[in-house]
Amino acid sequence: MEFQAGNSWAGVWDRFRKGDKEAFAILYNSHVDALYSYGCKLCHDSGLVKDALQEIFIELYNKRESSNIPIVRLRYYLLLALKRNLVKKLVKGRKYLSMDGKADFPMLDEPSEETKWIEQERSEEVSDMVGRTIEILPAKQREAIYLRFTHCLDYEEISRILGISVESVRKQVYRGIKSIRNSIGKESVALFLLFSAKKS
Amino acid sequence: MEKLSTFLEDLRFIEWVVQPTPELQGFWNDHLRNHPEDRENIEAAKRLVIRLRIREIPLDEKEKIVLFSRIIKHIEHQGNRRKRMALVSGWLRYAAVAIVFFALGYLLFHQKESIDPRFFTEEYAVPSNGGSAKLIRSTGDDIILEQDKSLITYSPDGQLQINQVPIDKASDRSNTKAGSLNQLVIPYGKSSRVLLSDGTTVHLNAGSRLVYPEVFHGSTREVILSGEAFFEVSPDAERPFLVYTNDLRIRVLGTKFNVSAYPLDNVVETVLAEGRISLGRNDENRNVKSYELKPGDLASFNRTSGETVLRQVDLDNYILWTEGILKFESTHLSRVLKRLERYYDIRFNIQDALLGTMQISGKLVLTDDPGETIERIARTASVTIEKSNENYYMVRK
Repeated sequence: MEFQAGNSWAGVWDRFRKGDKEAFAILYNSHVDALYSYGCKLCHDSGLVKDALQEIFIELYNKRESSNIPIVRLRYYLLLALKRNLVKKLVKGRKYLSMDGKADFPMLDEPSEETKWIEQERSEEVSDMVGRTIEILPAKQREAIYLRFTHCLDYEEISRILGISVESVRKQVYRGIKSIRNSIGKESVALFLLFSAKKS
Repeated sequence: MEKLSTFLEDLRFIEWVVQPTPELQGFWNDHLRNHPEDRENIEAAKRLVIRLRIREIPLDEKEKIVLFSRIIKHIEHQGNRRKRMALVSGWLRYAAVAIVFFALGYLLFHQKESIDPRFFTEEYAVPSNGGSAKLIRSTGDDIILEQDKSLITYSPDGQLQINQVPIDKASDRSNTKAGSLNQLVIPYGKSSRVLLSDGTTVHLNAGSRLVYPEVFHGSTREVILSGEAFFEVSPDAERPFLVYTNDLRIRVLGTKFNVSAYPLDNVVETVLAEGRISLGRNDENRNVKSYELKPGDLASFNRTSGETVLRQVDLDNYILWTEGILKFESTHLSRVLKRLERYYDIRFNIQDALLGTMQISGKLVLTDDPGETIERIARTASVTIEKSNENYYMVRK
């Protein structure tokens, strides 16, 4: 795809706000995967996720002129809108979220085969182990780590999405990192033992 | 975790690992140069960030397009209710994009080969003012059609001729397979006749687009239309001919019929001249019935209500345009003027909306000079039509 003037995101955003459909398509394409992914982690029903996506993109379009979203934080606004939309849908569907959030958010309970939280890098044994480590983390920690290290959100943005204080987000992320580091530590020991066992 | 965690706290650091940009790359390279002692911690922090990332579940390509097309259709609909008059040029674009995405989706379902993205992204809006007609090939080379009325033919093996002049076959120069797609874009003020590789003739009216393969493959012959076209489909019982518009799917064996599916119009009209066709929604998920047309039948599909109405009509009113003749019977003046707008690439400004609903009947030979035609319309409808500038005309009592 060739862009003429305004190849930058600012240019795309500008064109989008003027109603340019191609710019809209570019924005859609650069966010839809991440949003869908997040949505599926929050809710098993992929149809519901797609409905929510449709609604938030229509809303984005309709509010394009009045909104003062900075383009660089667009991902955050969309993630937040998606979560709010899904929570509303789930509550409406009489699927209440319990206090600890276990009920209908698979993000917060057993991941399905599809929504497995798998580590990004090459799937060696090691990263498989880390993947599993992330899964053992408490739900809030997992979600905070996900928003922080997959979508590069800042603490304040994460706090709004999770509905907890900035301080708690900081704590959750810190604890999550610590657990992962610990498990990596154990892993390297395990690998080291395995390796030396083979050697001898 | 001391030094290492300062990097993990730094969003610019995470962004550098997760979605690096040249700026971030520069920033951290500078940092490493100035603080070589940090290298070890940075490497460790980097590894950790990579491990903390979680794999995304991407949306299936096809579903991505279907979803976007749904979004666009919805937006298009809002516009329809809210401000139909205001957004003429904007409108065209919306609907055109919808059809582009629809076309793209169609492509992904039916053929896997890669296609130059320019084929669909460039000028997806129907060029309505003055542009020249254009043949866009999937290989990315465009051919400008200079004449107002062009003739485009494909031999059974896909050899292309424009106004009787042979053009290099796209597949000779690049590695695209036969069956690669062509797109014909006809702006207002132009028209074209295409002879497809199966012997089917398509008369393409002003302000229209047609997407079709150089050579038909497979068990059906499929084309995509936005705008108006008269089809003379060459009979082939083995391979039904399918015309897709933004909303409809028309299935034919061998027959003559006219389809008017302009993005701006709320009604899609299909008129059957000979043979038989069946007409249904192009959205296969929907359980809506299809309609069988008999010769002389007009099927009007209302895009807002989604309803289709059948009635018998005078064929001449719908297909004589292919001969450069406009015939109308108790037709609203605004509708007749709309046709002239497309044919001549001009605009009418009707001062009093009521004037537009005046019904007129007659037969017009569309001459090259719009002045003469406009004069005759003005006399028939007893209105005054004045030229206000180059391409604009005022209509008043």
